[in-house]
Amino acid sequence: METIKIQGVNEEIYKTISNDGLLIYIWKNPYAKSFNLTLNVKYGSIHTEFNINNNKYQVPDGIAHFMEHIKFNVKKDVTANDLFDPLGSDINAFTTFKYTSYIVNGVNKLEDNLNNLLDYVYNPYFTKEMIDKEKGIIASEINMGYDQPYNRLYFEFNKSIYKKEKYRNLISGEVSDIKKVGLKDIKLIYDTFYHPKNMFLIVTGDVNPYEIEAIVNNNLKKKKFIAYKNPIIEEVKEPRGVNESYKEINANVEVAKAKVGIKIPRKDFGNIENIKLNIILSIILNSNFGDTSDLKEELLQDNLITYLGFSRYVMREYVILDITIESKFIDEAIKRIKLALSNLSMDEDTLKRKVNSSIATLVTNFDSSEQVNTMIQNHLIYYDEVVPNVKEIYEAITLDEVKNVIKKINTKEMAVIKMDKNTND
Amino acid sequence: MEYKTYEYPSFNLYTVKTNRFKTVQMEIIFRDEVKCDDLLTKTFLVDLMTDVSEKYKTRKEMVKRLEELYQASFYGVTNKVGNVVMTSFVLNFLNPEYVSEENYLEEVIKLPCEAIMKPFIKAEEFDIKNFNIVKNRLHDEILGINEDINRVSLKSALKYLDESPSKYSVMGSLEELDKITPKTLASAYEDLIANNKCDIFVVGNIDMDKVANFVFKYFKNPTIKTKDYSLYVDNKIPKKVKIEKDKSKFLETNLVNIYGIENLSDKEKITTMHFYNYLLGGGGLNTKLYQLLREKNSLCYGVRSVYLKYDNLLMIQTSIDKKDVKKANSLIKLAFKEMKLGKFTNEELEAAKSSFIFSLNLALDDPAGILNNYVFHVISGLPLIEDRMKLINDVTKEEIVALASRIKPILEFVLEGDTNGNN
Repeated sequence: METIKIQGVNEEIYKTISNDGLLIYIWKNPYAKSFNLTLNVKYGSIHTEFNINNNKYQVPDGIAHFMEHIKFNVKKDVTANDLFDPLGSDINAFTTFKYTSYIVNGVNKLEDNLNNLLDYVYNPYFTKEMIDKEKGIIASEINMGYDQPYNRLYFEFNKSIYKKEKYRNLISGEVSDIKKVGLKDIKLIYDTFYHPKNMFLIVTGDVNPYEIEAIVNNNLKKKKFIAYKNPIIEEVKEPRGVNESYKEINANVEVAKAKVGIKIPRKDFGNIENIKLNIILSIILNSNFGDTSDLKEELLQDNLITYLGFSRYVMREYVILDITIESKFIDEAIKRIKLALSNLSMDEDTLKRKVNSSIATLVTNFDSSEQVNTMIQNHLIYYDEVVPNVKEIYEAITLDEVKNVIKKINTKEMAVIKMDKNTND
Repeated sequence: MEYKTYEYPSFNLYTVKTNRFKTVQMEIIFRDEVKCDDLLTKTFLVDLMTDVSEKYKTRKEMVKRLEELYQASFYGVTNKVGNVVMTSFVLNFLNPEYVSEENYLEEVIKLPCEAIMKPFIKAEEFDIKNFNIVKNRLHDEILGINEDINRVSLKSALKYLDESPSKYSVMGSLEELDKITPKTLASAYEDLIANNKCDIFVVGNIDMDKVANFVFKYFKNPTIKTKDYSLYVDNKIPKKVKIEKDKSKFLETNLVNIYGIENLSDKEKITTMHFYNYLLGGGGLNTKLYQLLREKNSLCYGVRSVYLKYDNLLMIQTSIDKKDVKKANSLIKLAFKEMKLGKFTNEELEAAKSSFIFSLNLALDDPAGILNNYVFHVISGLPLIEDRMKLINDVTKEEIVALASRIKPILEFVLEGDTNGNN
């Protein structure tokens, strides 16, 4: 068992690997009453084309999310709820672009909970009937998504910023996609990706790491896994430039909304490691568009916005920055945001304040088993490993480094999505 | 956990010392009886008073100060709990043991105290610039309700209820917002300080005597208030069920069914009714409603029932396809019938009890959860979490069945969607 010491917070994360190749991460919190278990599959909505031994496979969009739904079936008339309800535990699952996570939160009978989680996720029970039944439920979920303006704005933005990337598609797929999902597709996905070698388990709470390791090994040795197929995901070659630089959409909204985003080749930022780039971009956006920025204060005082949010994504080939606004004067607000993106700045005092406040957040994150579990998931998905020295990375950031990153933020490739009221209202 | 009360002439300070967290949670809560026309004013007031103060004259200055205080957060919340409106000023900050500045605790406690005692008021009016920023934000938030099918549907349903505090919303309407001025808001501030009952709650691993000293030093609330209000609303159950329908531009159709509950004892309010609700639709994915509507008939993605304890109401809400309204309503009725007939097993009840214990333990894992429970212990006599866990085992299936016949329908509401794609 390896221990990863998290700098600056006096915390340790245990890491081990089961006999079947399942990576296990454990954070022991002696004060927690509840525990969080997540069994995660490195299979998300963008992984619809892959290669196994030079054979190409393509599955319908939305299949990762579809699998998450039907995985809850254990056998005829028995679902995962029937396993966990008697334990008083709470179960859930979610699918992202890059992975699927099966979650258990409980307070009692850790061993039973962990065994049940492993048993139901590693259980290839699929029938045509359950697939047909689930299609109606997922269609309802997709329609609910269309009824949520920010959800629509987000995916419409992705359609504008990317030309080919699968981030353009809904995680759930469209109703027409899920109609195509068949038993054969589901079995292919399970056999290919639901293998311990493509998954990781995270346990957080007042637990004994060695006991966890033993429970997992005992459980998995009773299961038969086919040889791991080593699937290779077909990477999409995303062309330079945005797909559509300006688009207007109508929706059931009362206040107009917009997203303004830019797409910058990752290589423009040089060798800086992803986590550091991510942190620096976060500080830049926070300082220039957050509550302490001159811009936000001016826009609020001029009644040009009532909401302003921002995010950044450091991807394999591109870095995406986007600003989201709500405004009664949306065109003028968009203009001001575009201008601000071209005039980013940073000073020593602001940098120091942002770094210190972010370090405080690193400490407080360790108040919650759930938050630590999520943090480990994010590190593994985005950085392939738990990063122990985030505090050190923050502390090492210099004003020159931040200014260098600002210099590389080129606004040439910009996409704007404007969402306004339905015209027939 | 160590509970302690510090009594001051005009408020009490309730503290819970626990070594389980790296953060400290503090809430300064003002309580008043719900009045339809001042809920939005209170929402406006608490928003503005947590944005700016006499010392930090813009939101930007306030947030800068919070960042300097190691990313402390300070925000306001207005909650309508049955018959009472709670105006809360919430401060969350890092445990001083992680901070090198010796005066950190004093500085961080000073911030909300000063924001409340010294708001940005000049010549009996709130500063107009900041007033307008909050007004614009609230304006869009009120409009924004119309973008969320569940909120639109609930708001539309509640308007069909008979006159009662249960139908009011802390967000109010645009007409109400237009009537609020910097002057009326300053008057509302005077009223809050003079007439609302105030208490302060703190949870964390800090020296509570020091906290008490700093609160006493900076929170100079001069008025002694003794008047308090019962939280419970006595909603009457009409003889005839109201059946109402509105239309919307959403793709989905939304159902809101509201039920009244007759004559609950204290024990039933605290435990039995929670289990009834859990088994009906408030629990996990094995509830009657979830099984009948989603699992067996694929009508919806989700369905839930909510027990509004202080309103003596039970509410069911779900989104479905327009064509399935009749079927969904008959399945909801079937779920109630099965509860009346006691069609649930002792194993299901035991699972509900385990789940309740889980949720209480979960509250113990969060300073805000501990604080929230302690607030209701103080103001409504709710047993402490540790004591409630012991009460759970006494609840029997017979008690739940006996309660089922006292739940009566008040309203069946449909917000009909537009499947023609006008979304």
